[in-house]
Amino acid sequence: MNPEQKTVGTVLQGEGVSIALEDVTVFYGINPAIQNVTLDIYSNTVTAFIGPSGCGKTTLLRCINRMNDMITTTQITGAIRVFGEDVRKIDPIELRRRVGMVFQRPNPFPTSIYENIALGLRVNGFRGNISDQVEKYLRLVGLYDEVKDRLKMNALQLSGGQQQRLCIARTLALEPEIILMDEPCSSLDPISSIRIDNLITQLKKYFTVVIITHNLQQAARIADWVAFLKVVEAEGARFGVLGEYATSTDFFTKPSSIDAYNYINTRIG
Amino acid sequence: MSDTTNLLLSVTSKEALAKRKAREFREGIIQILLAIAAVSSVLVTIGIMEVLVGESWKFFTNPELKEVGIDNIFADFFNLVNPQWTVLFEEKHFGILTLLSSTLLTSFIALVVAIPIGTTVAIFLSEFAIPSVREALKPILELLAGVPSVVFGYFALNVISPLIRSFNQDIPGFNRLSAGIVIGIAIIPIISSIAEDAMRAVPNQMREGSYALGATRLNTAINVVLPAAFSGIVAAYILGVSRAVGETMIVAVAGGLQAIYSWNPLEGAATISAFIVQVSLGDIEFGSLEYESIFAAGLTLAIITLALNLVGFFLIKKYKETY
Ligand SMILES: Nc1ncnc2c1ncn2[C@@H]1O[C@H](COP(=O)(O)OP(=O)(O)OP(=O)(O)O)[C@@H](O)[C@H]1O
Ligand SMILES: [Mg+2]
Repeated sequence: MNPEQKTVGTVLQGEGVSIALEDVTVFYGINPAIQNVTLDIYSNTVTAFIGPSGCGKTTLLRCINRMNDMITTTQITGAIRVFGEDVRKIDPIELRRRVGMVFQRPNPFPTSIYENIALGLRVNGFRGNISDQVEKYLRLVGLYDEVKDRLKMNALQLSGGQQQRLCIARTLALEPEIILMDEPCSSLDPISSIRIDNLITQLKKYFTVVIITHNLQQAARIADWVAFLKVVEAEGARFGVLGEYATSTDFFTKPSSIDAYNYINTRIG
Repeated sequence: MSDTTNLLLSVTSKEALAKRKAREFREGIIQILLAIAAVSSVLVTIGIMEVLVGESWKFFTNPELKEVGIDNIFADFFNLVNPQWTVLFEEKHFGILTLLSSTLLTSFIALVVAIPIGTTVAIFLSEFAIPSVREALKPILELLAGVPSVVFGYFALNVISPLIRSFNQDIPGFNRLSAGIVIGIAIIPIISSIAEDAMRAVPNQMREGSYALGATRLNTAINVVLPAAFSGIVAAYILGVSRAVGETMIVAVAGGLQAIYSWNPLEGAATISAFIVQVSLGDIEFGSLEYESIFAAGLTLAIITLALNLVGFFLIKKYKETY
């Protein structure tokens, strides 16, 4: 599955909806985290989820590749469709092979740098040359030159930012169709961060990207669409709802709600 | 005004001082108690080693050895080619490998049984079992750990040994294969519970990273959780071996009591601990050669356990350095 072949596929696929969320509500036990979110995420675009801490961005993102299955207390209602298929009907293993995820906190495996990427390739039955693929994606995230002499070193000895880039490389190397990124740049220096931004912009030719970020400049720079989540309080519970969903240009130049306006301006100002 | 402030200050500082003194006194007492506990455990260890080494020294330097025809006790003790352990006979030999071979053999068999099963149980409990299953299984394992080892001994003799003999009646009833297998069963709970603790201590986000790549539970357990918990799992194995090496009742009951040098698991022969228990139950004279030989054998056992712990320590350290 090299990107060239993929382009053809994407062109044929055309402007479609990759992920459709319909009236999604998530509870942790009896506490609602997020309620009634409905939105369509378009193929080959970058969609940013933004909003205050605790508004449920991570929760919503984790519904898409069914990572919330791991937490036994979660209850999800509503429909989530990936490429038109209900995620609950797709085998989670299969789903996660098509929908990759980069986590909020870097979580490399306690194995070598090389293995961190090779492992995922192997469990996915990758047919190409594994070490070429490892090198290619380490280069793409700008880590290769830093680690090329110590690919056998344990990944836990890398710095936090290096670990995060390794985790990004490990996810991208599988070349999934959708990539979910939870604040991928929060532990990165400005240069690495810009590099990842450019990478995302390049890669959206092949993938659909959903990214959570607290950095509004980053959102404005790379996102085509922005989903703004806000916290509301009702009946003694605090939970997140979708405040606004618009193209990035519209959202940042003429936000339609006062909450979004305030959020943008407190952050920038 | 400034007077009252001074007064207030001095009152509060006096109170604070008294409080601090009381706290320092309390902490002093706690520190002394802790120090006593630490020192006493060290003292007990030193005391045990002192007895072992002291009695062994007496054994190796005992003039009676010449009388029973042993010129070079070290050559006899460390005879690896043709060792004999005939302490209770007229013509005495003290080749420790005779007993040691049994100890090593039964421990090895035990590990062959316990490592795969214990690790699998640990993986199952930590990575696969839903909480209710885990809550049901753990007490059963703990029960297994609480069974007196003499019961295991008779289990080996009355259940496992007949089972083995059902394949071939020529195999003696006392054999080290059945003893080893049952030691293995007896140490499964140690290995599985320590290994499980180590695996459950692996942060969930590491597992999630693996699941997010489309890995199955089994992939994740083997490729991510096992390496992450490696040092704890090694510790579990080492503790299991230490327990197997020192295991006494199972081998004394089911493994045979004759001191024969043999590596054939289907034969019965005494291990170091089985010999010790056998001799100390008989009426041997305090301070005799037979009596002292127990300590020489015991010291050997202690050194092996120490060596095992050192190996474990270095393995863990090495792992932590390279990974
Ligand atoms: N595993 C969990 N169990 C119970 N409650 C949870 C769990 N994870 C998240 N929550 C709750 O759900 C709400 C939303 O959390 P979430 O992590 O989705 O927020 P977020 O928008 O990603 O915040 P941040 O920007 O700080 O990462 C919070 O109130 C949080 O306390
Ligand atoms: Mg989050």
